[in-house]
Formats: sequence, C-alpha cells, structure tokens
Amino acid sequence: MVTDHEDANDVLQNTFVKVFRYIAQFEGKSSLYTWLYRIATNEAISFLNQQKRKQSTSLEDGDGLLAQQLRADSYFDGDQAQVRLQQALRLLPEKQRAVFNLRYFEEMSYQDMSEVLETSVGALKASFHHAVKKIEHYFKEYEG
Amino acid sequence: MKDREQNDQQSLREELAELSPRLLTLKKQGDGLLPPPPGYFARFEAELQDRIRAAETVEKPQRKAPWWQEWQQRLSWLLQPQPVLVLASALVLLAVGIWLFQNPVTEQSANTFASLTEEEVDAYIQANLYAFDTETIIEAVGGYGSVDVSLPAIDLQDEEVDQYLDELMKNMSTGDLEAIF
Repeated sequence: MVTDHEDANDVLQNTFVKVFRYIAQFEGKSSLYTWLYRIATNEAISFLNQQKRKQSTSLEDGDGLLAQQLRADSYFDGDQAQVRLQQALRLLPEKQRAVFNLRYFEEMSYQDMSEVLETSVGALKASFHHAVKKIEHYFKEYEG
Repeated sequence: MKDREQNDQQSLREELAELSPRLLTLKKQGDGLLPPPPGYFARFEAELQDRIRAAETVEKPQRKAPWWQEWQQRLSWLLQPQPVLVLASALVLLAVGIWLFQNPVTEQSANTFASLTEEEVDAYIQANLYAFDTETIIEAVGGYGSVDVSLPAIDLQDEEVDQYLDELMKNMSTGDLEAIF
C-alpha cells in the first residue's frame, strides 16, 4: 500500500499500537490473521489519505516523484516495469488498491479478503478485475 | 496450511493468466522489495513499547471527566467575574441610583418635614411663596384643607389673582400648608 520503507514502518507501528489497545475487544469471530490484516489495511488507507491531504502535487508530477523515490529507496530493487506498476497503483482508489495488493502481492484468498475488508467475495472479484484492467490500460498508454 | 497457500497461489496465477499475462510475468519476477535491514524486528519491539507508553502519557489527561466534575466546572464558571455581567450590573445600579435621586422617597420627606416647627414652616413658605405653582396650591388646599379656595366666576387680572392668593394664604392654617407638601 505504501512504497516508502519509513512510511511502512510508521503504518506497522500504528497497526500494533491499535492491536495492543483493542486486543481485549477481539471476539474471535474471525481469525486473528484476518483481524490483524484488517487493522493494518485501515491504517494504511488512513495514512495514504493523510498524505494525500498534505500533498498538492498533480498526478503527472506525482508519477515523477514516485519514480524518484523508488529509485532512491534502498529497500526497492525493482526494474522499470515494477516502478511502472507502482505508478499505476497510485491511480487506483485506496480501497481498490487494497484489494489489488492483498490479492496480487499477499496472494490472499477472496474468502479471507472478505473478512479483512468486510466486503462480499463477488464484489472483491469484480474490484480486482477492474483494478487489473486499469493497470493494463496504464501500461498500454505508457507504451503507446 | 501450506496446501491452502498453494491453492491461493494457484488460483491467483490462473486468474492473472486470464486477465493480464503481463502482470503474471511481473509477479513471477518478484515485487522488487528487499528484506528489511538486519535487526529491524529486534528494534521494532522496543520502539513499539516506547510509542505505546508515549501514547498513554498523552491520553491520560484527556480522559472524560465524571459528570459531577463537569457540573462543578460550569458552576465555577458562573461564579467567576465576567466582564459583561459586571458592566451590566453596574449599569443597573447606576440607573436605580439616578431614579432614586430624581424621585426621593415620600416617607423620608414627610419625616423630615415633621421634624420642623410651625414657625420654621411658616418662614419657609413666606420666603418661597412665589416658587410654588398656583394651580398646585389651589388643588392641594382644596383637597385637604377646610378653606374654600374656588375662584369666583368672573374675569380677573393677574394682580387681582395675586391679591386673592395673598388673602387666601393668610387664612390658611399650618396643617393646610403641610398638606401641600
């Protein structure tokens, strides 16, 4: 969800602070694994929304900025295609980005994703399908 | 558990193969992320505990006060001197003072008057006779005294009226004069 190592560290710490605070309220209706993912996803989305409010850069400027950040990030070793994929992900709405990330990078099943994002399996499949199509379109635009 | 993970991976690959072969290829190449620096998770625990302690320190004073403390605060606010209320009170007191000054209490005047002797009252009236309004004198004497003060039904000059009043005043008793005031 976030591309910078320091941002990821912040989100992870926020997630565990929330876990520590609300662990007594965990009722065991879902698995601990999906409960943790739900908190982490919400924290990541909140973090991205905060970042969006702070930044006033346009999407075009943001593309260049993101590419620079990724190349400068010592924890990112992706090639140009990986950078392009991250740029395409920036264009997705936060919730759809979360769906794509959980499915594509985390390889989570739709059933678990349904618990994490509190969304039906059918809606998640449709959201992932649309996200993939948007990314494809972005790649084609860039090539063409 | 491992079987489940393999199933998830397999279903994802099949899905991507159908939707976007390009993303499937990228997936096989990896996500481009390197592992975190050595000792990251060892430090993470200590950093997290520091952060939780810091959050607790900040949050403690923000706990919701019990209902009785909220009422106590409201009452203390009412008891504190408020500039607007002080100014309004001063203006009300000033207005009352002015009204009292312009309308002295009748009972107090009557008591002051009762302490005077008849000679003092006579002397005061004689000295200030022209200060009294003629209509007031006639009305007061007619209402309280036994002397007939009704004017004759003829046209009179001012001098004749004055002479008439002089004669009338001479016939008035001290009690009649007191009734005027």
